[in-house]
Amino acid sequence: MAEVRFEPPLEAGLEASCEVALKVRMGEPLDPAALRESIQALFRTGRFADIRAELEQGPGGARLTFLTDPAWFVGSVQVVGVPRPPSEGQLASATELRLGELFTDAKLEHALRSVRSMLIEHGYRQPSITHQVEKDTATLQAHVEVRVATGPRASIGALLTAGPDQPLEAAQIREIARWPRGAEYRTDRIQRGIGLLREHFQRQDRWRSEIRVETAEYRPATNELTLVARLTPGPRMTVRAEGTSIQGAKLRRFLPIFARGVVDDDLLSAGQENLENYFQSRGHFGATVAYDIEHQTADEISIVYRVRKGPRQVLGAVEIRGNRHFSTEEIRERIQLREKGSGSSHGQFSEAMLRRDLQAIRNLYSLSGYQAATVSGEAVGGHGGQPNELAVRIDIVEGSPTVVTGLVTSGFENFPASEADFGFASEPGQAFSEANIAADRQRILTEYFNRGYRQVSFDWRAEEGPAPGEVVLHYSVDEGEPVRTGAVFLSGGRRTREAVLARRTALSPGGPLSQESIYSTQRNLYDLGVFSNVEVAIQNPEGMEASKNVLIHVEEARRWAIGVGGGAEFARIGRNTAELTNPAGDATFSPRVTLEMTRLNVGGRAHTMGFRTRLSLLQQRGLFTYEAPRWFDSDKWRMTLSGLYDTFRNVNTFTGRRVEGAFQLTHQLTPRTTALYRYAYRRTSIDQNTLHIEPLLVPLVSQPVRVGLLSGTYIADLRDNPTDTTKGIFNTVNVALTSKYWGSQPNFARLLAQNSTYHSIRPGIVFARMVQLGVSLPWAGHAEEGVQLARFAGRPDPRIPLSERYFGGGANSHRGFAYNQAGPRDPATGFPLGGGSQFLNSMELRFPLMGPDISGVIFHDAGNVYSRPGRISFRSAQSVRVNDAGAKEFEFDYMVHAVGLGIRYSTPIGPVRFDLAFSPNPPRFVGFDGTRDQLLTGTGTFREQRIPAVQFHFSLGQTF
Amino acid sequence: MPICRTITRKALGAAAACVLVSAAPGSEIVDRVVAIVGTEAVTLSEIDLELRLEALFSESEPGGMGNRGEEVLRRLIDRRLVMQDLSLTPFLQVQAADVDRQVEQLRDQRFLGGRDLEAALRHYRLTLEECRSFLKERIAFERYVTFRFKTGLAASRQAIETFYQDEYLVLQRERGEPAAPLEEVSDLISRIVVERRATELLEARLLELRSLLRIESRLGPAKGAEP
Repeated sequence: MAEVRFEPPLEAGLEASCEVALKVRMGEPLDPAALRESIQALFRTGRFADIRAELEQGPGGARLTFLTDPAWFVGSVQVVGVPRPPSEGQLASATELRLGELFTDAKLEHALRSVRSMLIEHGYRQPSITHQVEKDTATLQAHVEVRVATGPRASIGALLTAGPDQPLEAAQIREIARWPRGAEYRTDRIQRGIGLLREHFQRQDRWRSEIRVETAEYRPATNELTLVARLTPGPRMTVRAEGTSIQGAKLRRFLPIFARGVVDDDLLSAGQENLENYFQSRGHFGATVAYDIEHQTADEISIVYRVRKGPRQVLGAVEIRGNRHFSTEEIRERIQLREKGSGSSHGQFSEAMLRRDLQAIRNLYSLSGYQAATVSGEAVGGHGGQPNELAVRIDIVEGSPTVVTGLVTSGFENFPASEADFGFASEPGQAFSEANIAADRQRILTEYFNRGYRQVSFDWRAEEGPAPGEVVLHYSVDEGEPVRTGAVFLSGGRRTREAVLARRTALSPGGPLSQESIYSTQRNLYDLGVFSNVEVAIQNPEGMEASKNVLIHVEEARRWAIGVGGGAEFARIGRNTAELTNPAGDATFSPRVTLEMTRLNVGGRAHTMGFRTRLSLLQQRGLFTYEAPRWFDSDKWRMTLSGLYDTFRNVNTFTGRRVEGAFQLTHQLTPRTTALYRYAYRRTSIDQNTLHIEPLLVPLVSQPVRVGLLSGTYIADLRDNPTDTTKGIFNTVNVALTSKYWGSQPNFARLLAQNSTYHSIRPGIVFARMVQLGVSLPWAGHAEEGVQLARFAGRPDPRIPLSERYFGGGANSHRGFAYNQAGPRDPATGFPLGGGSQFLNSMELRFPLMGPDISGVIFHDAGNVYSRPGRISFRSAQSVRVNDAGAKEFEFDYMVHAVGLGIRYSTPIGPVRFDLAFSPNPPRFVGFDGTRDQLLTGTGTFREQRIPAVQFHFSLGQTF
Repeated sequence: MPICRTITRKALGAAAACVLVSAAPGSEIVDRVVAIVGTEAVTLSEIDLELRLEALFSESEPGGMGNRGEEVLRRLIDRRLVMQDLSLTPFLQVQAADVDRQVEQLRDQRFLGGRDLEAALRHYRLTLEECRSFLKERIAFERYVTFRFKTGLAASRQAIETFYQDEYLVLQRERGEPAAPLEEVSDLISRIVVERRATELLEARLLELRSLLRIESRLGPAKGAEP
């Protein structure tokens, strides 16, 4: 052979793979077997659709040319022009053309047939389907676009029954199934109708009905489909239970024969087991259930379940003895036996459950190297002197573990085990455990996979050690050849900037083809929040290539999202009126409307712009945000710009208006700790006509104020589940400073810190506690005014504007108060004034109440909003003095306690809660009965009042 | 004539005769892909090789492909499917010693014209390696059928009686030979029934494998060749 060449010439990335595949040698005679092997090996690379070997005799020798046709691979697949249903996504999925896989004409034909079938199934009887395949020679991808012109959807025409013996007339079927003539033929309509027919038979106790509907004839002229219904009603099925009062619908819930519409031994036994479990869960631990088919004909079947409930008992204790290697708690987590009080008033017990649990404990020990461990157990009556109370005693004899005394590795050549930090679980000295070996296997394969060794295999064997109870482990791997990443091809991101996509790609050409990198790339792109679908696939997955191209195909989500919502708040919350009565708040109903508009992927940068409004009687708010989730391309930084207009009345002392602009950087320090750096500039004004305070103070307090606030927040969230925590810690610290140097009129510093901890006492029972401290300190300002206006002890410092003070009380704060009702109050009107500090200590015991979804809470809240930091007090009694005019002046700097009960109902978005609180020492204060004018003219009456001792709260999510 | 040209012509033999010359003058297509089984290719030269191996074992003179191309190609495709299926069952893999035993048996055998193995291989233009490879696949195929389809198969009494009545007695009548009693031939019939059932199961499995994998047959004129 003088020359071997390829026509067309090979691409650069393919040369290495083909060189390995070639078995023919230059300078040697052509060996037909070698030529055959070469063609086969070249074909196995997956990069050629056809190969022909051409031999040409030249003056210098023979020239062998491999004439090749390139293979094409599936690129993007789009189906357009379909009125739903089916969706374009469903149709694209039906094509079974998978990104990166080999594209062939046969696959395309199959895809088009599938699209047609699905359209016909959905009532489009005359679809016109055209397609276009665009082949990209640079990426070898075949992009397929299927265009569908469906025409109108067929409508339901005549309805026929399958024969004269059918149980219903065609007209009856049409009425029951709601298939009127002329209605659009849609699969969901047909399925719904079948369901209605099934229900019709179920009402006659026929639970095994079979209903089939076929399309018999299509009339193009009228675009109508004739339906043929074949109904088999099945036998009338009656079931009763002996030995229990459970009958009817409740009994049917336990018996899957009704849900499945099938009567066989498996389902009858499943019903038997369900009933036994039910009675055992109710304390009838020895309950047995048997079933019998009493009577069976073609039209009738009668089944009886015979229940022997036995005495009602209680499992008082589960004692586990002899365990040293595993703690009692670890063993309890693996067994089903439950003592009374742990989620069930009777506990959970049955002999079968005990047997299963003993086996589970045996397995646990065996997997941890204690092959000789013996586990036995028995239930004993008369526990605690109660004849109906059982105790289960589980005795464990662990024996000695089999210990790994040596670990011999082989085959770790390109990735030596000695150098790689595998952190084997089966190290010498550890107990011999197949669970550990499985963990090691998983770790080894994952590490190799992530380095491109896609063919790696792992094997192990254990050899008896020098002494009894000792083993030497042998780990061996067959690494196979590593696969490298070829080119990375991006497609589908029409609006998104390529640089944004490229930065989120964790795959580097030439590097190992790592599974983890593929997953990370997909995750990173999804995390941008601008794609509805992200596919990352290896091109030519079945081909034997040394390097593989990776395809990334994204589908951009709709850029605009608009949401409209409505709701209402009903609670004892303030609503500002001209009346000065009820300063402690009214039970108020406030309807609410929200409108949200979001624009994704602004400028193709994966930034988000949003506008949210919220309109209610208590608040009118408009918020504009611009968010860059990865500031300077770092996953750890997020930038947010916001603008806010807010008219708020949620503090019933006044109506305020706030206009604010803010810049915030969020820094993800670790996965569970976050820092926020924020600058906010706002102008807050208060409508003086709504101020419910002493008239003398109105001109000062109602002045508009500009606040420039620099703040930093540290959040450490170590909770297991933020919406319904059972253990962990949650800490936040917020420090803020205002100054004229950054545009503020008032100068003050503010600190707000919170620490919450959660402790799981027993399964399902959680003790949660939280302490919160807030302090505001003016550090410069009009001292003269402060002195003059703080005439009474217990008044907040006037240098801190009303709108910047602490307000507290409510469902997420101190539950002894209605919303924002805690703290100092105006001496003339009794309305809340806010304070310069706050302290709150909350404790809750959360426990299961009914089933898995309803739980209860007992709580104690203690604290208050205080006038100034120095006046935080733990005193429980409110002090009062009589002023020179003989009027009572109450001070509010004392600790208000509240105890209460709550109910939580679990939902996917967190628990819905209702809390009822009772405060033994609610604040008393002097209020005013009358209007503001009456207050000015002195014609109203002052009346001593107190915050109601009983408060109720509805809310979503746990209190803290 | 250059050596390589001579060897090529000899090697491809009859297959080359039916390969059509491509458009380029002075050149010829010496081998090409004629079928695809999953990710693997079957080449034109394999058909020729199969025909020569077939001739060796049937002790007939080697001939050209004639009109047997499709039939042989189908057999090669089936065998490739079986080998791929078999690769998932490591304990059925054929060891070199198994092939050695078969080769030893061949050495004791006389081929067409009383030739020994080496002379016969030369006559059929085969190498020992090609012969070993063929034997290996044949052993593997037999094991596959035995373990996968025959294990556990047993002929029922009814099936044996049906065969005896419907086929054996009819055949004997046609031959004009006396029929043996059922008890005498029941073992033989049982083996035939099992064999037949195993073949049915194999056919069903091949059908299933064909539906799962990409199978393409291109045994026509080479692409770009003149008709």
